Amino acid sequence: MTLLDFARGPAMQWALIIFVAGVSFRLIGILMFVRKKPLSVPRGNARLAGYRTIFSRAMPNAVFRKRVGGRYIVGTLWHIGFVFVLFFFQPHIAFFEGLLGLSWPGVANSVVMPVAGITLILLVLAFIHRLNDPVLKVLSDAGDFVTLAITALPLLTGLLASAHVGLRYETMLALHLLSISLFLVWIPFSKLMHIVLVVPSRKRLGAKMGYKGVKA
Amino acid sequence: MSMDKEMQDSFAMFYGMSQSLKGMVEPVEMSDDERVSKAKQVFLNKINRDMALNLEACVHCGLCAEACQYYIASDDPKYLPIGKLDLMKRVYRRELSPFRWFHKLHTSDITADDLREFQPKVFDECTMCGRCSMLCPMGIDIAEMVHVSREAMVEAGLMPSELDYMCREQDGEGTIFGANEDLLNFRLNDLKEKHGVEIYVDKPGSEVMMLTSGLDIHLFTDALLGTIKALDHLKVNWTLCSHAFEAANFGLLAGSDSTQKHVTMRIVDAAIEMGVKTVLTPECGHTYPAMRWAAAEMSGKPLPFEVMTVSEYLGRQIMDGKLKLKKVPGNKVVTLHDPCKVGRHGGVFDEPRAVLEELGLTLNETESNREVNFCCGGGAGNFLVQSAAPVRKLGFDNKMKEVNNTGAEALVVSCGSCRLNFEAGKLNSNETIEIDSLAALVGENLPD
Repeated sequence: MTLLDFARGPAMQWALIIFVAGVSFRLIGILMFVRKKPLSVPRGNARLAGYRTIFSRAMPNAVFRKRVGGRYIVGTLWHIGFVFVLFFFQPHIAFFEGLLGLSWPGVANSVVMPVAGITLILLVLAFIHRLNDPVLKVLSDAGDFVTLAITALPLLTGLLASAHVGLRYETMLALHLLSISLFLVWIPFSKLMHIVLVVPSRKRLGAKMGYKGVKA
Repeated sequence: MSMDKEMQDSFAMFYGMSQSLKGMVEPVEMSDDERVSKAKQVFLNKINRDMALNLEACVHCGLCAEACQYYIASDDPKYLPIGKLDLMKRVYRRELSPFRWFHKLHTSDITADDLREFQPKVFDECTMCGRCSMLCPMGIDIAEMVHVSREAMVEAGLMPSELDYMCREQDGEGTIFGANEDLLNFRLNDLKEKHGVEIYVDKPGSEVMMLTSGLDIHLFTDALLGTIKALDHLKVNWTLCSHAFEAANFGLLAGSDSTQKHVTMRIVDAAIEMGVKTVLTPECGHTYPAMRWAAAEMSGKPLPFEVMTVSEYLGRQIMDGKLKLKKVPGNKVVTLHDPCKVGRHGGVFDEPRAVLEELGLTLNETESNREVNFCCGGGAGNFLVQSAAPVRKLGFDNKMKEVNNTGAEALVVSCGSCRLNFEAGKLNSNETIEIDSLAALVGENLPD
């Protein structure tokens, strides 16, 4: 079995199994906690407010923009870039078709590659910011830096493989697939779980505040 | 209207009294093991699904700092809101999280020294204003978990002595600052004699049970008078209850579950006994969430009466066309402080603004208003805690920057402790802005 066969086969399969099982286990673990139904009389529609906050929290309230606008823009661009490259690069679509039986139109490499490059640069900026910002210096732990590295690897290896830079193509592709496997495995054990938790977490705050008639 | 001579004298006496509570109770003696065990038990019992979700969801972005009044005023990362949950997070990760076996490998257990180190973080350095939750991209409710952390400190015998004193007084005498039934009657008779208002205490068949507070009985009598005058003007069938008039709930502020329940249930039981339809809370910010949201939970069933705070009640009367007010002369420009507990934690925003409009006042909003309003700097009982004085000043200065930018002649507020904090803040600064009670403004401008 070649390295590429291993990366495409057992490594990816086990990574997907660990990803699905781990995410499910962590989610079920959270759902096992009790949440009592409130007994006071609501002032607003909690459910609607919850759904609203899922989307509204993508942008900060106007009053915060002077202080955090730049970071929000960088963060948003990074996420858009990551999702764009993940879902609109032709070989990725082929991978998803093989996995799910679904496909969709892709975007030309001449567009995807620069986007991937910019996305990687944004991640490097985030890394530099985390090293230098006084608040983040206090807050950051090893997990934050490991997560940054594990998130950067698929982008870096993907770019190198596509540009035929470094090791031979098959090896780079195998490393790219292995880095994706590592990323998938790391999700349930790290803050990358926010990919899943962002929706219920925002929704609950929106619902709690909405219950009191407050827009969150 | 600035403070008259009588109120200035009362303020000097009351402020002196409120700042001399430290050391009035002995520190709680307890072994370190017992402190840790009791604190952990609180975390283990109180962490619910929402908190678990929040503790799992943090991405360490640090943006919450950018909403915190104390961080904004100081640029000191020690005020980072999410950092105040470190102990709770460690207990959660080690004992409760789905991957606890994994987290135990790299997360240290909490110690008594940790508890002592974090005591000022969850008391002095956080008023649980909740502004950080309005910015957090993950929607984490940090204030709620700081409250649980305060509860853990209380159980571990590490409550600031000022708040401990207040809780013990509420548990024992049922009063705050010694404002008992005798003092209430003295104050009510004084108001009756000077202003000719009708006073009702323990009146059977009343529809509205009004609460007041030691703060208003001692000091902010204009707010008490304004409420009484407005209720009389509206011909509301109201009463005070001689054994359940104190609205303040230091249990909620300090994180003492037992005191909170004790204080809450005294009011709930009295309201049920009297068969009132409405309980009207005074200009006392934290009373509102204590009664409006938490009281039903404390009772274990929905309340058979509605709860309204005075600014909400008066605003509704105006919005429904039932209350007209005289216009304040002179095109006066004011700004409004939304008390965190009534606004961001209560949803009362439109009603006080309706009152100001009815009074013909021009409202210049602070840049941060309504759900993102800044705290007065001394909320959640911190206005009494001596060691919190430096951060209170940070919060006050931060708030006043926005207030001064409005160009307003007066700052209108409908919370006694915010008002006290603003008046006290003025003593240690060059600020001279007039601080007005919303209820007092209504009382002074009722039609003849």
